[in-house]
Amino acid sequence: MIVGIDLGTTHSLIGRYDADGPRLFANPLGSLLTPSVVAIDDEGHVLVGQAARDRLVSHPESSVANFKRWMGSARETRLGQRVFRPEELSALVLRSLLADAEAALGEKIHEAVISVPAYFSDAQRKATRTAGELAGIRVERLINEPTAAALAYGLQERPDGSRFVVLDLGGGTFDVSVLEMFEGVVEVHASAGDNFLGGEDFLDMLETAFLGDLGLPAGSFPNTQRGQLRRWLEIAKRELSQRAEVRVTGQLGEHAVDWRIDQERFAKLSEPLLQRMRTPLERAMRDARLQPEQIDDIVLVGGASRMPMVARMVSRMFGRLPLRHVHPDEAIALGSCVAAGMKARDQRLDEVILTDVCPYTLGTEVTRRDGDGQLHPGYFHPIIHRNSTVPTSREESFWPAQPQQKALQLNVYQGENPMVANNIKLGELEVDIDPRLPIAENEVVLRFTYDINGVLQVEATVRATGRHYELLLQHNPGLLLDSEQIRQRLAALAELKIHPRDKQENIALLARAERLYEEHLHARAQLQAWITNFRAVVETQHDQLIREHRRELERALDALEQS
Amino acid sequence: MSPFEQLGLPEDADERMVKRAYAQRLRDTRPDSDPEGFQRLHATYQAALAQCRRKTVATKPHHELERKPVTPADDLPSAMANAPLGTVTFSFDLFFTELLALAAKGDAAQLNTWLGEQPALWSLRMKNRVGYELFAQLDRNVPPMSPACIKVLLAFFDMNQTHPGHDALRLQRLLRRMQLAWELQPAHRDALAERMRLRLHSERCELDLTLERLTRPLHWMQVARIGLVANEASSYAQSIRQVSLGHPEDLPEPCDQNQIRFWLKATDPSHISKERLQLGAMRCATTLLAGLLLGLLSGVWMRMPPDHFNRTAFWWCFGLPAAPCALWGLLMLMLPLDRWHAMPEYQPARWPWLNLLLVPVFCAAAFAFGEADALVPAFVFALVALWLAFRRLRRRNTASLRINSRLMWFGLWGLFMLAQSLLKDAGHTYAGATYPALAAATAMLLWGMDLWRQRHRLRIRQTASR
Repeated sequence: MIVGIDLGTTHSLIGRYDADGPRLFANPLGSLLTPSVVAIDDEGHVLVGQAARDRLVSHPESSVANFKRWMGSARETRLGQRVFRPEELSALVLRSLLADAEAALGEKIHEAVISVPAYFSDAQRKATRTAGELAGIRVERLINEPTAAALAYGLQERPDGSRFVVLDLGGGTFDVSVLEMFEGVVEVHASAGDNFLGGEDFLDMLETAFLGDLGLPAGSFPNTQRGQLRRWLEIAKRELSQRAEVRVTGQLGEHAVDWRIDQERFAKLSEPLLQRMRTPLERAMRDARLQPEQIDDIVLVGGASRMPMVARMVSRMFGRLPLRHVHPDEAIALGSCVAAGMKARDQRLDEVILTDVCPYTLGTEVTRRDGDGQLHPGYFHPIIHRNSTVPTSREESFWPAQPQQKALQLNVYQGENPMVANNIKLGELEVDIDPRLPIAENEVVLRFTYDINGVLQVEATVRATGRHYELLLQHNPGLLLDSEQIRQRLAALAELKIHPRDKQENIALLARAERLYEEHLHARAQLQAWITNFRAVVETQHDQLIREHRRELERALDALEQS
Repeated sequence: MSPFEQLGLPEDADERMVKRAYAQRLRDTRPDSDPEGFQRLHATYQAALAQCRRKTVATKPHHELERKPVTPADDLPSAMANAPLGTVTFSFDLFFTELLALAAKGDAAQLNTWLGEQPALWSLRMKNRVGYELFAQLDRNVPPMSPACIKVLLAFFDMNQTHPGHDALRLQRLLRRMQLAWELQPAHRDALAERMRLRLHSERCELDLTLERLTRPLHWMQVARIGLVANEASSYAQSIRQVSLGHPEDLPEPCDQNQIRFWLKATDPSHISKERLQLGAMRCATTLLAGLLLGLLSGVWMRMPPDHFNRTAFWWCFGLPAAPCALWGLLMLMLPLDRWHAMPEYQPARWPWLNLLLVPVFCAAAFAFGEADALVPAFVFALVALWLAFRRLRRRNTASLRINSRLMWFGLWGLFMLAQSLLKDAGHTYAGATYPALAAATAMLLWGMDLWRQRHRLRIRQTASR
């Protein structure tokens, strides 16, 4: 049983490819979208999803969101008593998703296909794999998010012989892929992206504008009130997609807030972020060697792509309006399910073959000699060019820069800049050569092999001696966990307490009530009474009674939030 | 075998047929189950596609050809001028002028906003072409531009990337030249001082002096003024390197390249150059002249009789500075000899036979003079042979042989003393010729060691075998 997972910055989804095609599983609250938020409650239980998201407002010190942006780094977050790495937080989200799928299917899940942003680096991809391992599953394949969206879109529409662009503006990442479908082949021509551009940045921008208008310095609100403010602004941002003007009113600590923003101002404020979206789009089109008029469709996916100015920007660049066929929030998850079906060799997907690309350039550091014979060190020499179809394997020869050199230091880099100083170093390989040989005879052949899962293998062979060196980029000290650390952390994660599934609805409701307690100062006494009352009912463990009270409280909270 | 044949297609197959054949073959060679087979198939497919495109391009009329982005042609701006793009018209010349005017202000944020607002550059195709043309124009004009503005341009046109066809070395040079042109403008001296981390007032004054000197043409007066003050020349050369980001050849127009080259070469101790000889000769001449003058003046001042003056004052005032000058001359003679003789075996040297046999020839001369009881020339030849052999062994075997030079000389001295005492003990009649003979023998020993270590790569053998 292989499932498909979309592990997003703000929301995550899970599903599988079954008899009716891709199908997504709902969480205990009945929603397909589980917020990618993790919290630890007062008794040390782990909360994931909507409950954790509500606690982000009421208990910001023990809740965390947006950790996908830290994947591949060693950044640690303190939640309650424990310290978590981004991989572990993702693993907790994955566990919650897997529990939903297992409940729906009634069997244990061992393998998954997880989608990652196309522009995720080597370290970020490995961290995602580690997250899967920590959640107790084997990650069979990592699929690029725009490719997944294209799979979902392509299989739904069957646009044979057409080329299209998928723009994926998610919560935290922006990706562009140029694809072509013909005869059942889904061929990715090019991918590009920005790992730090997404809906959250638009929210940050709104927050800055809000604080600026009210004349408040940044950080003038304590964490709880800031969480509250961001929630309001998030709602305002969503409403701005439909309404011309939105008003934010409420009480933030001692500040009574009344703030208005209209679409025009929002578009003007977003201008710098929109400008940043141009570069990846231009780069992908250039690498695909296609002209705008050769593109048949433009598909927008990802929640943030609902903002009207995103569509406006794309239409300005392409000279036409983008089409939106698939559900922006679910397209990637549906595509991951299709990829999972392909991995499981589903009969109906036998006709579909996917070829993907390596989204970034991989190469080594060289010293270049100019016309006057002067040496200039620190240049980046690409070996696998970006947007080469994977799997790919390429080799190039290198020679020592100076006579009588004893060794060649081959530094492996990922990036696009012509100077290695601006690229990401992946590893290094020192190759011994014979210093007595003349330069021309001291050839070292460097081979880069990039496989379908995004694992890079570097081999070097000394021509004169035939000696072979190999570098498997697996140990990035500090940045990534090794297998021993993974085992330790897996054991540690197993000790964390998780609420049973049937209780989760109650917990989410309580978390919501607590959030409203923070937000609605005037109704605090009422909310306090409701919370105590509901807690007492939950204690009785009388299912029928709990269900009735839950419905009642839900209605009351809805009414309070509407007012 | 052509890619079409490999795909089982006729030579006149079109793009659609190539794709169909590729899709069919892909079913048996999936990228996940047969990576090697897939790579071969994909390469064939790409080659076939490229051929198809070439054919369609060849049949198209010329004006529809896609321009190669790598080498923007000169006629591009005129071709693009007033090119219709919906309702937007775009003139490259106007764009370029406005851009330079903005860049001259040095406000990077404003430049960025202005670029973002250019309606014509929203079009994918247009922006690409304008980007290449812009950098070609910049390469031709090299306008002064602040590093921040350069960064904005690179980011906006996405030029700072490795791309087949991008000449990274040339781009870096262009960026450096534009930055230097910007920083060397008097109005932006603060930016230059900031980059060089000069905070003190005295350091700023020194910088002003350096910049003022840079623009002067090469003149013997200036050479004298800088060259005759202790350390002034080397510190000036050092400042040139710092100001120019390590690339003095990229300094902009008012700077005098002749003069800069002169000072850099004259202060470079690793090579013998005309400039270095000139500077040294000038210093020697001035010292000697000063000595002579001093001698004359002291003679006049002490009212010495002319015959007395000739002997004492001349030797003290003229001879004393003459000694270091002579030593310097000797050094200038020896250094090129050493360089040529100690050249690594893989570098082609002139007169390879002489290069190989120089030490034996010198040793033979030392022996011959020793036999003829001409001890001074024997000593000179033997010592020069020893020095050359030692330098040759050391310089040509740096990787495989680590010699501590001080230890080596001590070892040689010890060996020499031992040999001497042994000779004495053996009752050998002491003769002056023994020392040169010993030195020459040691030189031959060192020379033999080098020959043995380099035996596989001797140039003589290589030329013979080829």
